[in-house]
Amino acid sequence: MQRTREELFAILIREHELGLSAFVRSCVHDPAEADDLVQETFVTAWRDLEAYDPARPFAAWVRGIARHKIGDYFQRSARQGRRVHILPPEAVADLAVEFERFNRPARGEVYRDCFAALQECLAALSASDREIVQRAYREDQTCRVIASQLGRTVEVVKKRLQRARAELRDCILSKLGPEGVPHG
Amino acid sequence: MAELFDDRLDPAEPFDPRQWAVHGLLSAYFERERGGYEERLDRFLERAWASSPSPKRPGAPGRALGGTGVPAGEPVQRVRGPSLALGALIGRHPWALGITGVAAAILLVACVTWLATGRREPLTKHLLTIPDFAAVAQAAIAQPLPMTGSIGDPLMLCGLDFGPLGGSAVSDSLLAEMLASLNCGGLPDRLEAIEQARRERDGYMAEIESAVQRADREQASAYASPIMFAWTRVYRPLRDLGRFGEAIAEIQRALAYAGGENPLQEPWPSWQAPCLNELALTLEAMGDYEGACRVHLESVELRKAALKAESGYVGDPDIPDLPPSQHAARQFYGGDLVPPYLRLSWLAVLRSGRDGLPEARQWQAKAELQFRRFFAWVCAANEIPLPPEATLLDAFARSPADFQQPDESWFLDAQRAALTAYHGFDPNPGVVAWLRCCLFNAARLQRVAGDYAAAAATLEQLASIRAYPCCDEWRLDFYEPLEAARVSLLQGRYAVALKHLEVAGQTSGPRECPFEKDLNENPVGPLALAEVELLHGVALLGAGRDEKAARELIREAIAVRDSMAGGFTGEAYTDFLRQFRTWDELAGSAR
Repeated sequence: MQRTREELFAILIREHELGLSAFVRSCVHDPAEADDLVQETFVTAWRDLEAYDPARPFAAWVRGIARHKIGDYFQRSARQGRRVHILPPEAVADLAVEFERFNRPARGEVYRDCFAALQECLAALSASDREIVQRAYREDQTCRVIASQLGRTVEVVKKRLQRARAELRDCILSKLGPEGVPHG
Repeated sequence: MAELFDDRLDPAEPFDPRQWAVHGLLSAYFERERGGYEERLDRFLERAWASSPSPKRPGAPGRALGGTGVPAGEPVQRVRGPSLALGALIGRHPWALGITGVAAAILLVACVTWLATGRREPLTKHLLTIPDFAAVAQAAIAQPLPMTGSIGDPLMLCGLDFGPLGGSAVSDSLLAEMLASLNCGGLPDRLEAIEQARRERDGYMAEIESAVQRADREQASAYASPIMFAWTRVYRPLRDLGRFGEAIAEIQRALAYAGGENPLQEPWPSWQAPCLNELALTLEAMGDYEGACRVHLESVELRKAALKAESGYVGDPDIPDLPPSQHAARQFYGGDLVPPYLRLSWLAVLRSGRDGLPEARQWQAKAELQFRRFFAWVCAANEIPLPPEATLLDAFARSPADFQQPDESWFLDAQRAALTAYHGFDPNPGVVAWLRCCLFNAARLQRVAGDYAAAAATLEQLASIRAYPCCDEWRLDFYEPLEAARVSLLQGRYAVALKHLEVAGQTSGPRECPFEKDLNENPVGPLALAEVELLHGVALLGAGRDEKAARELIREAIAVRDSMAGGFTGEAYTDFLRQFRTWDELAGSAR
């Protein structure tokens, strides 16, 4: 059975879209802008496919393209005086390294293990922490709104959210295991 | 006002990549949970296909590459098949070890297959090269346009003779076709709404006549506003439908009526200048910008004369150092001169493009000055300190809360009590509405100047000030998101533009005012709706979504604009039209 280059590229996109979106959203907090950047990254990847070195993981390659796009976006935003949180290139590089941890080459290049682990780790959070995480990310509520609705201070909500993220990270890495094999 | 930063990650904390990375994971995870994942992937792919990939040139046949163990149609989650026919990539997958040796053979088969089938990519995927198209489209979008739709100022007077009418006459059949294509209500409904408004107006006219016969002049006077408001619902939609001749005839009748040809045989000055502005708007819609300016300037003189007559102030109402009384201050600065100033500001741009910006800014400054003085007086009367150099928005922000968020029941008697409480000043939602119009005009001037970031920031300020749609003669509920979409498109923020256009589409229908049905408005006109369609099509193309639907939207919009835009032409728009039509034709022939 034959597959065209387009079909195979589509498969790659399906494999890597979620992971790339997570990386871009970690740098760019406006979801619409982040989506645009992910889209632009894949367009560039498609155009420059000849330049791809198959010896390298595909995820790292597209993440490299995304880093350039994000850098351009921050520069453009700074020039236009837009009110976005601009990360320096070193911070974006640090995030790329951090994402490497969720992406175990030994497991192929699929992030889905990571998201499966995240799902389990969310379920393992305490009920109150899970509620804050879900309000923050499922409902897109700001800490100020969550605080007012739960009758807590903003600082408390921020700290709880910070703690929950740290727990989730440890939990995901532990579930992926040293070889990236999901446990239990 | 939007949050400055996402406070789920505290910008005050030192940057911690572990926290930020999990933030990204959670954000993507819950976004996917909301659904639309497949659609998003489809968009990415469409956009990728629309670009020119390096391995092929546009229009080149597709190459079948590599073998796969994934049957067609199988769900692609956890796909274990080869990604691309790139040997080493395949080689990293354990299952692929057995097939890498035959990769060359498969490639050969693929080439043979291609030669045998001659499979071709649809031409459209390569014709609409987004970066080129975006540049041409952006130039067209940046071009100033008349503000069209159900807009105007509360009306009135005069028997001016404008001579033979220009502009385009649109036939009923074409109009019906356009309305159908825009899916914005049928022509019969719109014509019936106009007839209904005529009947309403005639009914009030009969009432006023009857009251005069009873010698009840007070009661008769009470019909003035209902008559004139009903009249607006006759000539504004006529203008919207491109029936300029009929619209102007109606406006002239209304002007004469308010000028004294009514059963009371007395002029209604408060309706005269606004009626002139309506006339000017109609000329603007016909593309006669010079004529529109002349009529607006005439309305300015009328407004100034009315201000002097009412206040007894003998100086120039445009630049009074100190008005003689608080009552006069309210009259001067409460917005009476603001509407024509803002209109004249935009007309300067329509007439001369960017070259008109200096004049446009002068009119804008005059309008803002009126407001700043008004709020300065409000603050002074309420003993609120205000530095003399305070900007308009500073002055607004410092004025009493009731001036920023006036009671919506402003048509009720409570308003009169407020006049007493605020030393003669009226926390009228109409004033806030005009302040928003001021900001709106400032934003579009910034857009024409090419300062899109400033325009976006001004629109944000505008959005942060409460809207009172029933006091807003400019229908900013519709035009504000439309302008925001335009600015987003010019910034290349297609996804954001689509969201704004969705809001504009939702607010284009009839407007109903619960406190005063005389202020109800008809839906926006087809030309304004065509504008939404055009921008929507460009945004879809820019975002790499649904190219076929995008071309269809643009085609419809062009048809309407060409039929109804009167004198509207422009180099950028012509370029856009030419390039789009070429592409559209080629894309159609490739199907």
